[in-house]
Amino acid sequence: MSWSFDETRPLFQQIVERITVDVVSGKYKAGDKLPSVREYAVEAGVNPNTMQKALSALEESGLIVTQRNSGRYVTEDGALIADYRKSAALKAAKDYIEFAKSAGLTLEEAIEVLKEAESK
Amino acid sequence: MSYTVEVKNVSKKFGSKTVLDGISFQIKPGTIVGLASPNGSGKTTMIKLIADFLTIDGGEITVDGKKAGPETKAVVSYLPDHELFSSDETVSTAVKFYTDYHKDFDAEKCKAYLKTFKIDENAKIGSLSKGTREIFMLILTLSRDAKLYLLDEPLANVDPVNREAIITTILKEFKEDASVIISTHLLNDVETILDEVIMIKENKLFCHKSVEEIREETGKSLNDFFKETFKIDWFGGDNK
Repeated sequence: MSWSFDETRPLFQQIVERITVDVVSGKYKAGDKLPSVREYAVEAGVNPNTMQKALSALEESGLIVTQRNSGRYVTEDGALIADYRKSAALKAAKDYIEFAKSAGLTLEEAIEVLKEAESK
Repeated sequence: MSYTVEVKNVSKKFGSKTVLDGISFQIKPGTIVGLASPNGSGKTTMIKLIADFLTIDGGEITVDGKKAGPETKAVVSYLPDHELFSSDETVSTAVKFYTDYHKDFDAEKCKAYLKTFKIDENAKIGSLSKGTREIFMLILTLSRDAKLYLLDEPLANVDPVNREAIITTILKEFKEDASVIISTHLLNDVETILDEVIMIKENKLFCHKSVEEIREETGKSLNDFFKETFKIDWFGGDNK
């Protein structure tokens, strides 16, 4: 099965987001080798040029490093991965807080709901 | 920069009816391009002109740097929108025809794909379903080592499961020095694998754009952008 996309947004951004999640969630570990552009493109069901662009963006962010002739790897920089993990969580938290506010909850109530959700 | 395909100011008429009017575009190597327009607006004609199965009335087409003609046919792998083999022939005779006729045909690769898609080599073409015949023709087309692949409506009768398998096959066979043109009005099936789209509207080139740019600029999927571009004007020009 290919990856599912929201076709109203550029695909390369969604690929970047997905692979970032795969790294911060630990699906890929620090130092893991990543599939080649072609393998990734076939797996995702996207154009190889789009996949290439996404992997280049991930290289720029430092999450992925390219070793000459041997391919792409997840960075071994644990602090960097932790940073990305935190900013991913922060983004999701902001979305939740925004929703909670619009639903009329106070911050304290919103936090209570979070705890309740976790225990269920 | 050399292009895989260069179409310069091309026109085509059938009798007094203009089908294509002053079309120009270029396609770079290593790209997958969608050719989209509603039924009956010149997609198949455009593909046939590039494949040199029809002659142009005006303008020029070059493929891999050479004027489209008998010579460029050797580097173009063309999947027509009609049947090539009679229903009495078997799958293996068709494969043999491709092996004999096209120097760049990889019979081993073809056999492997026939196995993947569970197509029996001894079956008569006529005994295959319409969708399976399409898959078979696509396998033949993609088993050549060409510079340009012209796929005219490759997915029309194929079910969703096999459609995904075909998309995977196109991606697996993608080469950086070759280009693929897929003519279709079923854009949602192919939009994630396209680099660019060429749209023909009322016999003229309407746009030639990067698909990612369309998403970025319009916030729409290619399929919705297409539907909006060609929507039927029920109330005439003034009543919008």
